[in-house]
Amino acid sequence: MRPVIPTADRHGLTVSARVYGLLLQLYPVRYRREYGPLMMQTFCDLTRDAYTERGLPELTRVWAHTLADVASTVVTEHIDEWFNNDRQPDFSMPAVEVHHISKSFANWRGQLKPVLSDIDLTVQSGEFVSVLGPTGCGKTTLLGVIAGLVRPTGGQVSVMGQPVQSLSRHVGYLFQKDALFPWQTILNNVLAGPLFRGLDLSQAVARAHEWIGRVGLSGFENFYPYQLSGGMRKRAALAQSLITEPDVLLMDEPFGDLDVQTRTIMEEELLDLCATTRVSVVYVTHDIEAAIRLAERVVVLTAAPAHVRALYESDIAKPRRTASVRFQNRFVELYQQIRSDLRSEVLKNYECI
Amino acid sequence: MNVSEPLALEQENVPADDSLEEAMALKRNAQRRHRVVVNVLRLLVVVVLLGGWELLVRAEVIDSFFWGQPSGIVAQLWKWLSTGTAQGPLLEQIGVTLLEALLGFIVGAAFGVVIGIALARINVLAEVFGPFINIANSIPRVVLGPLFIVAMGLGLESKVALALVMVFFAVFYNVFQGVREVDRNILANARILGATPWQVSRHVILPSALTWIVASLHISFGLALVGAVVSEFLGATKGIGLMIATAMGTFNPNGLFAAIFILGAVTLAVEGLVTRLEGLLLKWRPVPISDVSI
Repeated sequence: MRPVIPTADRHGLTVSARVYGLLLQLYPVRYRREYGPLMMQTFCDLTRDAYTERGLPELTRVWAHTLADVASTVVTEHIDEWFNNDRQPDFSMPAVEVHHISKSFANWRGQLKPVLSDIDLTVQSGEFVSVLGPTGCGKTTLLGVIAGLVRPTGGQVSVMGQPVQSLSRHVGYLFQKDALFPWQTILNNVLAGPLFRGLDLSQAVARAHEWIGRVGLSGFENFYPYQLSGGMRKRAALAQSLITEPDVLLMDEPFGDLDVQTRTIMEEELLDLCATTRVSVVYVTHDIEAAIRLAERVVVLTAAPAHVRALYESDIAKPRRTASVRFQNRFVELYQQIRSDLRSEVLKNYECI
Repeated sequence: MNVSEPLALEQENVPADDSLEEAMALKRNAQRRHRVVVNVLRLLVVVVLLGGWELLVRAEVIDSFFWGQPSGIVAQLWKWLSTGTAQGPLLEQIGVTLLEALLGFIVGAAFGVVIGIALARINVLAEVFGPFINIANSIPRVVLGPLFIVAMGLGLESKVALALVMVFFAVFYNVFQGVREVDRNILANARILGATPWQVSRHVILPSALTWIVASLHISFGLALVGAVVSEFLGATKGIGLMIATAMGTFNPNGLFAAIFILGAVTLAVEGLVTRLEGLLLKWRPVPISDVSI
């Protein structure tokens, strides 16, 4: 028989386990990864001993064991977050599985406002999926949920066969606005991911140089982000993200604020990079044309609360670079279909107001 | 490669053009002339103010017994420099006050930064300690001076303590605000790149709050000096504050002005150092475009 643990004790232990985890972070990442699990085990054992050896009555001793169980649950839940453990990705599974996801936010009056309702989405390994939807329909929230930045209200997400609990190690994220560290040079910005994950500095530098070369920024290693143009900053952000070798790349209108020419060039480069790294991409955009041209599948979301309105296979022969794709019959057909879908959703937005 | 000059690359490719060079030279000359004119005008302001004062004293419109006079202040400064003050050599007094202020400044700023980041990052701490800090902040810090003197004596400690308390709150509130205003995108980016909470604090929060921290350092050295000097008024064996108190006790307005002048000069010098530090710490920021800086 397992007794019910007083909430206060459970909370106390959870807090102390978290504090212990935080303290462990003062250790260099490399040691942490090696000895982390061992240290946490020691913590659980110590907790158990502390409770049992205090000469407590029988019932309390049973509590002690249960509390130790709670501690180890906390530890196993957070161990990836604390120790940067790399779980092995499961390539036999789809890259992203979004299952009945819903999410509500409380507005300023405290009322719950649903943003996502019952979204299902599967991205196969190596696939490029575009997500279209009217403004404010929750596309960014959807990406946040997949990345583990936003906790969904209901439903499950898994990335590379692993359920997303906290931040997933397999995900790269390209933000709509600049998210480079403005106080670091381009080299240090690109270095950041590998360093955070505990790679040696010299190895990280070598890989950073390689990636800076691949996105065409050689010679700009020692520049600060403010000294580069918008397009160059996007390239740097791309290198910063791809150097961590994500299996899934989430892109939130990454090239939205670039001019049309630069955007086209960046999109082509993105396709090339994706082809060499076999990364799966979820690409949120407003640009119907780019969505069709880049992706293998196009998902159209409804106005908020968003769910999937339609799914289109963009079955146009590859390679699709160059603008001539635009004049193929199939492209025009898809374009018109998606445009009318989006139009009716955008109109719905207006009706609400 | 010249990092601080974003246009350097483009300029390298531009062939040297004579007319362009000529125009640049003209512009440089104009700028130099402008600077000379401004400096002459500044000098003029000083001469008019001090000269007017001196003349009014000589014409017996202003009583020099109460208000002093510029020539008397210079004489006083020279006397302190050559024969020393009542408490010993002038440089020693400056050194003592500067040391007290600097110690208070460094320790207070360090506490402010650490506690500010801790409270901003850990919500429970902010909730628990927030009201106490606000209450403590609502007390005029200067009234703590007598307490510190009673508790720690006339020596260095009581001065450092008051300076520290004055600096702490200025820095703390700035840091707290700075941490709260960190760009959400950059924060999320760091976490996705694999940063642990500690790494987020070290590599994102701290550099991002640095703008605010440095801004608060500008004010807070002045505050540290106020703390040290006020504490010296209240009771000390050395220091500029004591010099001021002595001058006040002996009805020596020239001495008061001379001491004030010294304090101003010291603050300006340290302020210059802080500005240097700012340039060093915040070199990742674009150079602000402004023609006039004060």
